[in-house]
Amino acid sequence: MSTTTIADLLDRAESLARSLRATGAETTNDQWRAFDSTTYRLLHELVGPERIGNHDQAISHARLGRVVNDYPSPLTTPNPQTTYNAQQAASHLGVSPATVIAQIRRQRLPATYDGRKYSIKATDLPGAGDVQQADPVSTHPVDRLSCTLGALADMAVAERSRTTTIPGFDPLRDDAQVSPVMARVLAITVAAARHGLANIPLQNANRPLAIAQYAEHALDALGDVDRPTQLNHVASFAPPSQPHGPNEELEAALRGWVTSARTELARTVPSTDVLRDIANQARHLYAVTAAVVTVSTPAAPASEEAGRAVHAELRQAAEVMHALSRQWEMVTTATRPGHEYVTATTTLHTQLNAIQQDSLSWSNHNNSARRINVDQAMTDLRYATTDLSELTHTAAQLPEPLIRSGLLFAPARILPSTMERLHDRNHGKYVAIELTEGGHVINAAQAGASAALQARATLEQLVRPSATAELPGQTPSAQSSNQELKPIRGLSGPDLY
Amino acid sequence: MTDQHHCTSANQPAAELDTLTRACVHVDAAARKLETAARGDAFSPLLVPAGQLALIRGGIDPTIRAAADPNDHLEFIAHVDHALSLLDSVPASAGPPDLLVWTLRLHDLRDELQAAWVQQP
Repeated sequence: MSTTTIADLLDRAESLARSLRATGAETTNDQWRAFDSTTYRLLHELVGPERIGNHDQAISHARLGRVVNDYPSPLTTPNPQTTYNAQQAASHLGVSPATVIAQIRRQRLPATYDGRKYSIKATDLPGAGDVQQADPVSTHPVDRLSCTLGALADMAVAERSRTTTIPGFDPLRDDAQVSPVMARVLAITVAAARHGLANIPLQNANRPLAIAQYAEHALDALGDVDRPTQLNHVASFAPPSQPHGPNEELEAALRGWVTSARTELARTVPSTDVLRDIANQARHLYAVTAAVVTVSTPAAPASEEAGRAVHAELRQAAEVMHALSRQWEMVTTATRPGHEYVTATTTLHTQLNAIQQDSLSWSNHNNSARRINVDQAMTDLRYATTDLSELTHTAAQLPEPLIRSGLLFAPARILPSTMERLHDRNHGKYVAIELTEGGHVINAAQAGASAALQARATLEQLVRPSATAELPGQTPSAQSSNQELKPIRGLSGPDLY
Repeated sequence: MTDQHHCTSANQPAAELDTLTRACVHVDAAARKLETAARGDAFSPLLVPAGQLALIRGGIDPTIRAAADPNDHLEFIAHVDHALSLLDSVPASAGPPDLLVWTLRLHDLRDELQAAWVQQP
């Protein structure tokens, strides 16, 4: 399992920050500056851009924005595409906003003006981008801490740039979800800055002192944020590039397919053959998950009953997906599926078939190379059911705009006959369907999205009571890794586990 | 776009259709045979290759469907073999530029199809 959540990285960062207390390793100015700029980048990515539109949201978000804007003269810009308003630029430069505006008016600082505020490119700020990043192979605790926070910032960027979403889950756009994570980062910053103060050459001590003071002040400004956050469950996957054994092969195939499916769904006019295949793949995944549940259920009457209930729920979801698949078959956008998607879905089908036919077979239990770790497979499949809820939700949004745009076609013969369609019917042509004629596919797509959510919730309930149960055939290392897995809580998004 | 959904079956006289369309109809007919054999069981393993065949047909031409033909007595594998034979005979300039890739995918799938069919009770 090559999955890391934001909670995992925060735990690691806190552990590294604690370890700083026990070490008196000298910290160079470069090491501190790398930590300093990474911390700012992380805070900036967590807070994200300014909100417009909803007044309440804008006010709420401004509080977090102020925390970032108060960062004392950031050493570098978070990314080259960033733009700042005058106040943010002033914070970077360590001057007042009036000075920045004066610089702009004297044409010393390039900026654009939209009639309300100035917009300044991050790359135009003096001194931008001259901080060397932490060495990823260094064993120095400050470097390791910087790399961990950098990985966190990368995850925030990846999560914010997702092309597909799920209703009810968008933690990076919910300040209540972001604040607790910011607080933990600021606490880590205080610990690291105090360590920096004690171990950095004296002539460079001003900066850690300023950051420690800022972080303490920012912690107070955030207020009481001691609450659970869904942001902790955002996950990043790094499947093995050369998988060995059925578990790694399954994980790699699942991740490859999900990535390809997202790409296909993000096309301007997606292929209905792909939409149909996503439904078919969902059906297959539920079938294999049901088989894995059957094998993994402990031989106790209560567990067996729960296993049967899950099996029935998954079969019901598979039937909905099968019906959806048949609806997509009736229409077309005339877009062909991408080759990468077809390769990815073929690979996943092959892996799922192999699990059903070989790895779960009792006759194959003597072949240790092909024996599957059922618990780990179940975890991968649970991740996949969450991905399915995201993909089917995105797919359910497609029929209506496609129909309204005149991009969803069906054979004129199967549509209601009109004078305009007479010629097309007689010549066996496809015609764009009307919104009133697309009810079946719209409803089926929405039913598919609901079924995927239900299937996911069902698996959640199954895993909660048995999270600590040991399953036959587990290796010691597998047991160790499973102890770190946490049960899922509440409705989640694509990477909420 | 021409609708082959309700007017074209794999048994239709060859002269009326171009080679590529007939190949697509055979691929789709094979997918339908497998779906029918699944007998509505959403967990049937036969639905997997059926979906893959439909995807390949969509890659060749997303607007062609086979008609449900009660007089079609060919086995699904025979439909695939016919399709492969027809695809191999399509002139290089007549089909999509990536036709070779779709033909290769169909060829790879054929053996898996055979195995899935044998395992069916």
